[in-house]
Amino acid sequence: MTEILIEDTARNNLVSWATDAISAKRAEGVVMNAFCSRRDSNGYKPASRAAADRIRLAGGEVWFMPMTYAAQISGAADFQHYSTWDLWPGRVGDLSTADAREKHLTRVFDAQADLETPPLSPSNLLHAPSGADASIYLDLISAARSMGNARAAVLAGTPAFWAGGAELDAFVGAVAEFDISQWFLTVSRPLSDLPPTWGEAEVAGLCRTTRSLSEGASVHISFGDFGALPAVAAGAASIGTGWDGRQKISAETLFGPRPDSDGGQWLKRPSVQGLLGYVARTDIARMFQQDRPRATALFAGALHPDQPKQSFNHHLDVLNAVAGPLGSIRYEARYRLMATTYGSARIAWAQFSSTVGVADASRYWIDPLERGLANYGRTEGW
Amino acid sequence: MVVSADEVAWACSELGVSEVGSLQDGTQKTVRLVELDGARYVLKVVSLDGSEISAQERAAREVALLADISSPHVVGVRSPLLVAPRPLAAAAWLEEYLDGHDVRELFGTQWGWAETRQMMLQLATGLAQMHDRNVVHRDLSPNNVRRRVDGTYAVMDPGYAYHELLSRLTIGGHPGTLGYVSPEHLRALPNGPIRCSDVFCVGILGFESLTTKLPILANGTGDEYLQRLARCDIGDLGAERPDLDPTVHALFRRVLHPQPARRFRHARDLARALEDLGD
Repeated sequence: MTEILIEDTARNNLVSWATDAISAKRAEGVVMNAFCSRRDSNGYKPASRAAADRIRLAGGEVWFMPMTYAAQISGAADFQHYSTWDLWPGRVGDLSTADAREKHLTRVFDAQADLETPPLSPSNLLHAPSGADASIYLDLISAARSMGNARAAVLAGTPAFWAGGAELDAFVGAVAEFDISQWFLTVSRPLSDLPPTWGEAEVAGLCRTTRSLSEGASVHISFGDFGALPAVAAGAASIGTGWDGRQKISAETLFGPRPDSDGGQWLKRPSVQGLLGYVARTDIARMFQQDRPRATALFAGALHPDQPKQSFNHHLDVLNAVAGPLGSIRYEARYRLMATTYGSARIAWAQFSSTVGVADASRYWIDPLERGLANYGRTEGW
Repeated sequence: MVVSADEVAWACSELGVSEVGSLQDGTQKTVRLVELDGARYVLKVVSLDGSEISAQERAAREVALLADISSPHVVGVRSPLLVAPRPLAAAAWLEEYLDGHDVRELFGTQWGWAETRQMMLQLATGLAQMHDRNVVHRDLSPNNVRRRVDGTYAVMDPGYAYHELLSRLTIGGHPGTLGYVSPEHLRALPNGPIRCSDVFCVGILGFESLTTKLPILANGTGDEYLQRLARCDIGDLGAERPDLDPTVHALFRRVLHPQPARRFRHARDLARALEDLGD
């Protein structure tokens, strides 16, 4: 089965909602991160070690992502929690020398040891699969291995990185030689729009990379949400998601300056299983009024009250329903099932659009992901 | 700088060998057949022209690597690296003499699967010794694979120095021989040849032995070849050799996969697969 890992949130409800989801078998664990969790409690946010212990007590796995790639974003400014981890002896984001890399890694692994989470090697922000970024990444992961901590690793790149074609494949060949057993793949986007502006080549690159790495490792698609489904079809074992927008997407704008310490806006739009996307609550409610049986089938259940937690739980149910079956079948069957699911979603969008009288948003939610998946399928000869 | 007769004479004297004949004379390296106490060896003398200190370092690395490996499928080194005193500018060492033929001389007709499997298995076994030491051969070609008289195969000439000096083609800064390189040879470091690039090159040799053709044709202009290499336009083994078992075709699809991470990632993994496949 495909698993769900809940990404971190700047709200103070991570432990309570995540443990509820884990207890209800809707999720398997949590990926805390250095931008959303604090090393020590500040009264509003609990100390991360206490949070990690409570999640583990509920039976969940816990990872700590150092978010090194996000610290390197030029507009990154929201360091109110990040700075509590003290991950840089010098300038934040500087990995230009072997000494800087080793010292950063030492602090990252020390933080993870304090949390009793598995060592997770960080990633710089890769803008291209060759050149300086790629060299630094390989140096970083090589240093992590020499420190005995390269069983799990993050690989974070911009959409241009993931769209790198044969250069990306060559780079993945190089990183695959490190024999990592757990990968956290991340697309770092410029904007936080949902749905993101997915590109065919980027989706296909993420699929090919997932397929390659999944042959010898478990692959998690961080902040993947609905956009992770093609990668799940290509072999990913888990999807990162949550209740806030910043748990569903990793975007440069989300690390910019923020005026307060709350978690930002709730994502209130309910997810609709048959559409593989989010819609306005008023729109799905209208469909329930007009054609309850079809709306129930499309939504996958009765329309819940307008509460963030119920929207979140429903979203987990939707992801599990779509991604779950993919996890128990082989590569080509996964691909074909997901392609069929996208085909069905396209038809459903047209019906929803005409029933409710709204624009058909399949061109945003379905087309780019479907094309990326098909692109991957062609490279496999399917 | 060409290796001089004085430098060859110095090497023979220091190593106590007598010259039997010349095997190869390159611009920066000469290879001689020599004898010591009735046994034959290969003497290699490399020019150190003074401006290229790395030539000595690479020679030292190659000798150290070979000295560290004990495998019937990797040529053995039989002496330490000696560096000539000034005014000479050369380094020399002795290697095991491999009787038999370079496989280039044997590629004129289609081989049976059993013989090809033996070659690939033994090459993979030898390369695995290098991969265990984080060394990538990077220039596997029919010129540096030898079939001994007893039918066993051995890899020769590991190490960047030798390949850089003797290769007919250098692509993207990496050593390589036209027709016998992987798509990664086109990439700038750090995405250049890696362990699974060696696996790809074993696949090239296997493909050629079975079909007498290269999997990525090397005819036409150099640019055309590079374009085919970049696209990884692999020939169809199934069409060339429909008599082979589908499991053999499947193995070659994996060995020659355009995406390096989809191949066997270590020569030992390829060797295991070949052992499992059988004749």
